[in-house]
Amino acid sequence: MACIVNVEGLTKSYKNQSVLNQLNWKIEQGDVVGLLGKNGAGKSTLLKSMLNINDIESGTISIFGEQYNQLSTASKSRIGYVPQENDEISWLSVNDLINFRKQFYCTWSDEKVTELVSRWEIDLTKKISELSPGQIQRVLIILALAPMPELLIFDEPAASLDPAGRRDFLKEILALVSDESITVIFSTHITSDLERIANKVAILDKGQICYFNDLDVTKENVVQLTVHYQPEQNITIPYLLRGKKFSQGQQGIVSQLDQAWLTKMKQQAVEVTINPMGLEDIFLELTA
Amino acid sequence: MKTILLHGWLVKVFIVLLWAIAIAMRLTMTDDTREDLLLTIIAFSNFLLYLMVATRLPLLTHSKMAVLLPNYSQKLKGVLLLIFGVSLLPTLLVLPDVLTWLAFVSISILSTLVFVAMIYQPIYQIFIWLLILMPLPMALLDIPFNKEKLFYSLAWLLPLITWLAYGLLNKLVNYRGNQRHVSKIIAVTNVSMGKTLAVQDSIPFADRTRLAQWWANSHFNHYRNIISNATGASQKISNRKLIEISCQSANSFGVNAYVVWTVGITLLCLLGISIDESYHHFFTPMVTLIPAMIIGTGSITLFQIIHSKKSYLARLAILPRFKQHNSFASAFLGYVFSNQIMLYCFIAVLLGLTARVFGHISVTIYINLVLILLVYCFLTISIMLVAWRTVRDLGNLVVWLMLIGFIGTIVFTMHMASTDMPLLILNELFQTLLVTSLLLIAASSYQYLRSFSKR
Repeated sequence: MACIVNVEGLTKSYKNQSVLNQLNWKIEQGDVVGLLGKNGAGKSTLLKSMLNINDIESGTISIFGEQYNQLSTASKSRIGYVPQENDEISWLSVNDLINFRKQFYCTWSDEKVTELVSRWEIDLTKKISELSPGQIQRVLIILALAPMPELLIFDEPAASLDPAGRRDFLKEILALVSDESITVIFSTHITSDLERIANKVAILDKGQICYFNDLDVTKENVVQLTVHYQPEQNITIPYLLRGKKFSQGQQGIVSQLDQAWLTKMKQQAVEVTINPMGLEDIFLELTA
Repeated sequence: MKTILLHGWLVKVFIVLLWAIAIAMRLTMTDDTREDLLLTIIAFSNFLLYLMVATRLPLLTHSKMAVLLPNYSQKLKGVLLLIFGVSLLPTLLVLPDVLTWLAFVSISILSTLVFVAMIYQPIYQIFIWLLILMPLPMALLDIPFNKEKLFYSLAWLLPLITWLAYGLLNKLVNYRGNQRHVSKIIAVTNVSMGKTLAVQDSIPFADRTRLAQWWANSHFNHYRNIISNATGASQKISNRKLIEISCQSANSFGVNAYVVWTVGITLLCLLGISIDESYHHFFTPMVTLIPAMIIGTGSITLFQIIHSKKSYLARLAILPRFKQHNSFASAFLGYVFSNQIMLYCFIAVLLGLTARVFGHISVTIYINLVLILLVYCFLTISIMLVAWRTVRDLGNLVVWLMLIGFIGTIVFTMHMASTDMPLLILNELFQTLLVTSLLLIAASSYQYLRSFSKR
């Protein structure tokens, strides 16, 4: 698969406080990446830096093989972005805003706009300032989807949506990503959304992508283990993130399940129970 | 993009009207006696257009999407060139005087550069003050003003000015700097007329300039002290003071504003006393502008801030502190009246002081002006009270009415100064207006009190 986004050594700080520190990240075509991180971890900063919305201190970023700050018109046409906070001109009507955006794209799909506007019941005559946060979010999503982009970047897209709106939005993204050429990166706090559509999960912590893997692999590997053994046995759990011992064993969470170690335990007749974890717990453990 | 840059029908109508007047003047002009007036009308209309476009421009250059939308800067450049091209059409009325026309084009380009520069970098507002004060150093240094020579130079400088402007335009369409200041401009241009000043409070404190932070802090410190000193029952904050504290914003015209304006005017007057009287008329535009600026910041800001805090004040009104009948409404009215009366008294004193030093207005005109300001004060308070009382959002309408009334006041004052009008208080029409304004303020205050007693 072709590399769509390549970030190397990205560093960014605000008022001498480091936010991104020598961050490396590579996203391939067809990836649907959910970006998780604590509040203030720098998710929005990372996405904005990738798109040249924020200035960076050092590092290289390439999108579609081009320098992020020298993207050609063709490459820009292939990107859709939904920001976390609304930056649109508040006194424009939805219709005016759509027409304004349409001017820039030759791949603009009026059908897509019409379909989403009617499905999400958006009043085209209303000004942006008259819409609720959820409706604004929907308009921003429409604006990002209408040019039929190949790279979609969403910064907390579902934060202001109600459950029905979120489900509808996720359905739309699922339909989109069925086309394997489309790449999606989205930051979120809602791990259930991520589990529903992402095929990869990235965790941003301490200014770096501390974890980036397939979602299925993540769920298989990051598990809770309970090992029952006699006190005289000295057993060390590999890739242990956090654990506690009790009188007849140990319980802990591992970042990777070592199959060889499991086989060894079986041979030693040590009972090992594997408890799968939800993504939310995984995230909490990996960033603890 | 054109729609965004040219948003606002009132200014557009005004510009087109001025263009139409210019065309009519040109068609009926038989000699060159009115040429200067024609030039002034065209220049004024174009300056308005450039100012309108310049204030809207940050919405496009500093939009987050600007870096992402394909061909954005090229399209923006095209639209700006188109608007500038259209603005040059009325200047063709100057023809067949090619030299004047070329000079006019140079002036138009230079003015766009200044307007855009001062929107993005406030330091360039100094150009406007320099322009206002330019005649003074010219007179002091005995430099004769020669319009023909100036126009001749500007006409020949046109290629250089065009080259410079084109280079700057290429920079402008990709410019993303001075985020702090531009975010303030965007906040103001992104809202309707009724919220332009109040919205500045939504700019995060850390994003403001050091001067703005200091200004806000020094303003709020005064009220923090009042709160922290009100410990015992004897120092209990009065209802009116409580409402005053609740109605403060970073842009309120407070103690520090009074101090700064007083110091500024005193320095100006000291300068006026120290120089020869023959130079005093050079200060007339400045001393005329200052009261206008104070009314703008002191009166319109008060309205916008209270209007934006309507729901907050409504919550305040239902607190046990205001359980007595009409205690909130009467305290609120007390605050508004005292605030505005103090402001207009301050302006009257300033006007008197500057008139005494610079002699730009006679005693009769001064008294007339104070009377006009009194009527303006009564009328504006009346419409403010109506807007604060009604459920419907009348914010835009009130600010427009205040502005129109304000411009009307200035125009009338200019007319009054040029015609040496006698005392207005003796004029029957003015007496009627004064009585009407008094009745209006009484009626609107009564309605305001009644609206609270119904709750």
